[in-house]
Amino acid sequence: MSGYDVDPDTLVTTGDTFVSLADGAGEAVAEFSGAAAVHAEDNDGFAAAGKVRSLAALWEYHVDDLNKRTAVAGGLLRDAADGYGRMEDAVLDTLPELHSEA
Amino acid sequence: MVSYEQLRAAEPDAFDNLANKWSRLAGELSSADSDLGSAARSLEGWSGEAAEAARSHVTDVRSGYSTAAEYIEKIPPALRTLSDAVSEAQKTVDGVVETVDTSGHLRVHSDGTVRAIPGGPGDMRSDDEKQAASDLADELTGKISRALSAVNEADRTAVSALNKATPEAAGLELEATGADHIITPSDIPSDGSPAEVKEWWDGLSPTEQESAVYTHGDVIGGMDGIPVEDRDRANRIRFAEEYTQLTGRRDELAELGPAKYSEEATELEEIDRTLNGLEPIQERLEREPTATRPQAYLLDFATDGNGRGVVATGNPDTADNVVTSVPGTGSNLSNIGGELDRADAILDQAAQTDRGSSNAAITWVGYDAPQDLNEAIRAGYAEDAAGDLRSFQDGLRATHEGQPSNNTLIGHSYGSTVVGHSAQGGHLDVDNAVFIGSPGVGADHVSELDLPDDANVYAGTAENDIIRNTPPFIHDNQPINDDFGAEVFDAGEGTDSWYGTSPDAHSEYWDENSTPLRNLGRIVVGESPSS
Repeated sequence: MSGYDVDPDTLVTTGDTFVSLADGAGEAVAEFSGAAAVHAEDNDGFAAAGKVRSLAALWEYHVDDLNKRTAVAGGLLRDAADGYGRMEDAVLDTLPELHSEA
Repeated sequence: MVSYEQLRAAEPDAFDNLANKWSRLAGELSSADSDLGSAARSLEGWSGEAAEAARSHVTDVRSGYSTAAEYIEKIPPALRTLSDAVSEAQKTVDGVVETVDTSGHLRVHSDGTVRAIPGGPGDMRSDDEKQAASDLADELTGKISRALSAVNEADRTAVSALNKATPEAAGLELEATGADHIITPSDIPSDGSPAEVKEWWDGLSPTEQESAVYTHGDVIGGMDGIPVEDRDRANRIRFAEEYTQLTGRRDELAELGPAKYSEEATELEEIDRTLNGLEPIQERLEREPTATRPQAYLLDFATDGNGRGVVATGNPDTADNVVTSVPGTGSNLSNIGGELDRADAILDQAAQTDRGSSNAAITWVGYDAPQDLNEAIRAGYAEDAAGDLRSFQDGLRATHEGQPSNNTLIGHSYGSTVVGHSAQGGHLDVDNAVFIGSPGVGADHVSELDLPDDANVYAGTAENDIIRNTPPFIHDNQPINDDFGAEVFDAGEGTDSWYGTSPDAHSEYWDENSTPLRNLGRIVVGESPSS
C-alpha cells in the first residue's frame, strides 16, 4: 500500500462530493433535455432546428460520459470507508482506463 | 429550405429559448469543472500511485467539462442571430400581407408569390389601375422572395456555426461509454428476483454501474434489488427531465390561454394534475434533512395513467426501522403530497417513541388504485398490485445493509386490501403487517396470510370510521373482528356524525397526538401498540 497522508474520511467525503457533482451535472443535462423537448416540433423547415436537435443528443451523450467518469471516481473514493488498500487497488484498476489519453 | 408557409409559422422565440437553455447548460458544466477543482483540493496531501491516478483522472474530467462548456457556448449566438433574422423576415412578410389585405385586388399564394386577382365582369377599375395592381404584386413578390432568401441564408449560416460546436469538433471522445463498460438492456435481469438483481448489481464494475444509472435510469430506477442510493440517483436524473419538460409545456400552454374544452385546455389540465404530484415530490427531494425527517430518496415514479410515486423519507438501506405505507381508494400521483405528510407524521411519532432509532418511511403510491367507491368494491386492483408490493418488500430486504431492519407494512383502507392480497399467493416478507381502517383484506383469518412465522399482524379501525359499515361479501372478514385473529389495537374514536360513523373518521389516523398515530409509531419502532 503506497497511499499516505490522507484521512480515509476525507476520501469518503470527497468521493461523495464527486458523485453529487456528477449527478448535479446529470440533472442539468436532463433539465436541458426536458426544456429542449418542448421546442422539438417548432420551426419546421429550418435546417438549424434539426441540427440543434442532433447536437443536443450528441452533447447529452458526451456529458453523460463525463458524469459517469466523475461518479466512478467518486464511488471509488467513497469505498475508502471499507478499507484503504481495497480502494487503492480499485482506483488503479479503473481510473487509468477511463483517461482520455488511455 | 425554408418555404413561405414555414417562415409564416416559424417561432423565433423558440430559437431564443433554446439559446438560453444551451447557455445555462454551458454555465452548469463550467461550474462542474470549478466545483470539481475545489473538491479535489482536499486530496492534495494524498500521496502514492492511487493518489496520482485519482488526481490525473480529475484533471482529465475537468478538462472535459471545461471544453464542453466552451464549445456549447458557441451554440447560443448562432441561434440568437438566426432568431433575429427570422423576426426581421417575418416583419417584412407581415408588411406585405397587410398591403395585400388592404388592396382588395391581390392575393398571396402558398409559395409566397403575390398575384393580382383578375377582375370579373363587375370590375370597374381602369386598365391603368389593373396594371398598377399587377406591378404592385410583382414588387411584393420580390419582397417576400428576398425575405425568404435572407432567412435561408441565415439558416445556412447557423448550421455552419453549429457544425463547429460538436463534441467531435471539440476533440472529445467517449471514455466511459465504450464497449467494455456499457450495460445493454439485455444485460439487465429485468425478470430476476430482487435478491438476484442485487447479486447482479454487486458483480458489476463501478463503470458498468454508472453506465446503468445514467443510460438505463428508467429501468434501474424502478428495480427492486438495486440499492436505494443508486435507484434514487437514476430517478432524480429522469425526474429532472420530465419535470422540466412538463413545466415548460405548462407555461407555454398557459401563455396561449387555451379556449375551454379545446385540446390544449385538456392537455393543460392533465399536465397540471401531473405536476400536482411532481411538485411535492420535488419539494421533498430538496428538503433540508433534520434529525427526525431525514433525506428523501426517489425509488420510482411514472406519470402515465393515474401516475405512480414511491418516495422514501430516510434511507431504507441503512435505517433500523422501515415502514411502507400503502394508501387506498382515490390515491394517485396527483395527491401524493398528502401521503408524504403522513410519512412525516409517522416519522415524528416514531422518533418520539424511540429517540435512538433511525427510521425510514416509504410512501408507496406504486399501484393503480381504485379512484372511487364503486371501483373499490373490486378486488382486482389489489390482486394486480400484490406482486409488485411483495417484490418491493423483498427488495428492501435484499439491499439492506448490516442487521436486518424491522420492516412494517401499513395498509390504509383499500391499501389494507392490497397488503392482504400481497400476503396471499406468495410470501410477504415483513415483520409487521398493519391494517388500518380496513374494509377487509381478501381473507377470513390471519392464517391465510403468508408471512414470516414471527410476523405480527395488527388491525385498528376508529370507532366511528364509516368503513366499519362495509359488508363482509365485499373484501371478506374485517381484520378487526375477533375471529380474524389479528392483534387489534386502539385506533381511537374518530369524528362521529348524526348517524354514528363518519367519513372524516376514516382519515384521522395520522392526526397529531392521536391514539392511532401513537400506536403506529410504537409498531414502527418494534413496540406493541395499546389495545
